[in-house]
Amino acid sequence: MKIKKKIVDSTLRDGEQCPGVVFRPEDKIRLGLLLDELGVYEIEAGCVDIHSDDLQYLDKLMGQRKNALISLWCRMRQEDMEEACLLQPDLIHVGVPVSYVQIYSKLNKNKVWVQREIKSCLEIANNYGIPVTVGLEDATRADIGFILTLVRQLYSMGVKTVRVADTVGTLTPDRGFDIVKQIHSAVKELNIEIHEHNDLGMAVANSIIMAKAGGSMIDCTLLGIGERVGNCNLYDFVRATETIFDLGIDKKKIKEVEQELINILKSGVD
Amino acid sequence: MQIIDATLSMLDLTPPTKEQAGEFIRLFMECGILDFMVSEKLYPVIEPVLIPGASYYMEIDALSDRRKFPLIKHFLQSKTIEEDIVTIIQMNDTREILHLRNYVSSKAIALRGMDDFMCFEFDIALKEIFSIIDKKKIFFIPENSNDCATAEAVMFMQAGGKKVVTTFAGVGNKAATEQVILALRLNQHYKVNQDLSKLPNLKQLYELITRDKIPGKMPIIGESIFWVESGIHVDGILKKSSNYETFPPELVGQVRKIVIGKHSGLCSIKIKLEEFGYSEFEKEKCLLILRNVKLESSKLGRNISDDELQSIIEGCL
Repeated sequence: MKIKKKIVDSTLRDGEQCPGVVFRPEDKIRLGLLLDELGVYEIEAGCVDIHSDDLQYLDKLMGQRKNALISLWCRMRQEDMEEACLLQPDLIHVGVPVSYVQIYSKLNKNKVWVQREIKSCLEIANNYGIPVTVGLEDATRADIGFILTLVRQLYSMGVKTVRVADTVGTLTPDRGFDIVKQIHSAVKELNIEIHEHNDLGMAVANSIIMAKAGGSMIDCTLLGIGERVGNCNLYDFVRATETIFDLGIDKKKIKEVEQELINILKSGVD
Repeated sequence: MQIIDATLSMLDLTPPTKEQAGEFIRLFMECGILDFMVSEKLYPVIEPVLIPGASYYMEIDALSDRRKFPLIKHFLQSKTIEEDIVTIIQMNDTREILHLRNYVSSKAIALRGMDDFMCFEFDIALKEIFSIIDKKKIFFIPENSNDCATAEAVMFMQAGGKKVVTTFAGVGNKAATEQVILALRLNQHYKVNQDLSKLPNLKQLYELITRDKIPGKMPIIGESIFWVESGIHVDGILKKSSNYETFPPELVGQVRKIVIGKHSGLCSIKIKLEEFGYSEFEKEKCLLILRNVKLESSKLGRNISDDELQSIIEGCL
């Protein structure tokens, strides 16, 4: 029997971070509704960006979608979190840097700061009654000890889903397997979401192995578009796993939605 | 660990000239590849440029033809068990692993296929294979119908395998040589001091030979993989490139490019202002420019060119 897994589509968020890709509000609504019809479980619709008023599409998308949950990506900052909550998506995804290279060298902070800051962010969302999924950013270069401490803390604060983000796309399948297994055995009740990048050409394979290790949600994008080389390609993942996973998605229909994306990308080039 | 590049066995339909083939081998040798598989058809053309110092392999139809190919070190043939022949075995199902018992007397085995093994406990499959055939005797030729060939090649090497067969850009439904090189370098300390800056030259040559454009987002060699727009990534990369890049662009002969658009942040604006020769700008002005950049980019549905950015800046002065 095939195992049920859920697809989170990030075309409208990580996909749009691909330089050269810009979606107008009407593009986001059209693609979002097609993805909803396709049967993806969650649509990551965009980033909370306090310098841009570009989130008007959200209301329309949420009003017209039938099944998919609509989420927004948010930095681990209290002001961004407030902003995200005011927009009232189904879910807020907050990205938490967990590798030392990100915490110390990028942000110039420390682990205690990370733990305090995420707590404040979760409290804000809790006040608004909006569920949060937490992204372990750069998890694949992080100290697994810190990850496990953090996921236990997150679970005790009511978080149901953590995303393992291979932010720089450096993972090999065997290490991906280990990370998911370890998180899974630390907190069995947590849903684990997989977020891969294709820098070494292994996004599909890593996603398969990590889903087999216990990841229940897999992040994909149409055509695999995303930061740098891109993310796990939705069509390739569905095709590769059709004998083992039930994703509730018809792979032929993916091609139709891809075509719509191609048309949108073309129309943006003058 | 040995990576055998088989690109020159895949180009019979768009054959390179003698000079192109020689250049291809030379560039790959500069990247540390010393083993090449070539096709029977191409051999007569490229024999003069088969540089000493590398080893050459060939899949052959008739064993009696071997003497026509004096520079070939190893011949491969499907299912043949004979002294000096590498036996090719096509494997499409994990249940076929047991059949390997029929080939224990082969000098060496080339395992080809295994496209979907990633879905079926690939690590266990490898252990089973190694328990039947000495891992040192195996050439692994993973195929890419499920987009897992590179990962399979890497896992094979991590499990103790010694020889993988790959092709440039994965041509012919194989694992991509350049991806396997990088993955093994970053994870297994494979040839860590090797200069890989000639990869873009290889790409150009490949495009010239095949008349096939490598997609901009192809891992390692795509022209736009080091373009970066989003504020959070630009900021992180400028503080330290390893914040958001697995390896720096220079390692593979590429350059980073900051692109301006809807996802830009303050730091990109500051960089561009400096680049255009403006002196110090107060934060409020930068924020205004940033806001206009985001609006314009959203409206156009694309990125902002340098000229467009110039006029936005002038409008904000």
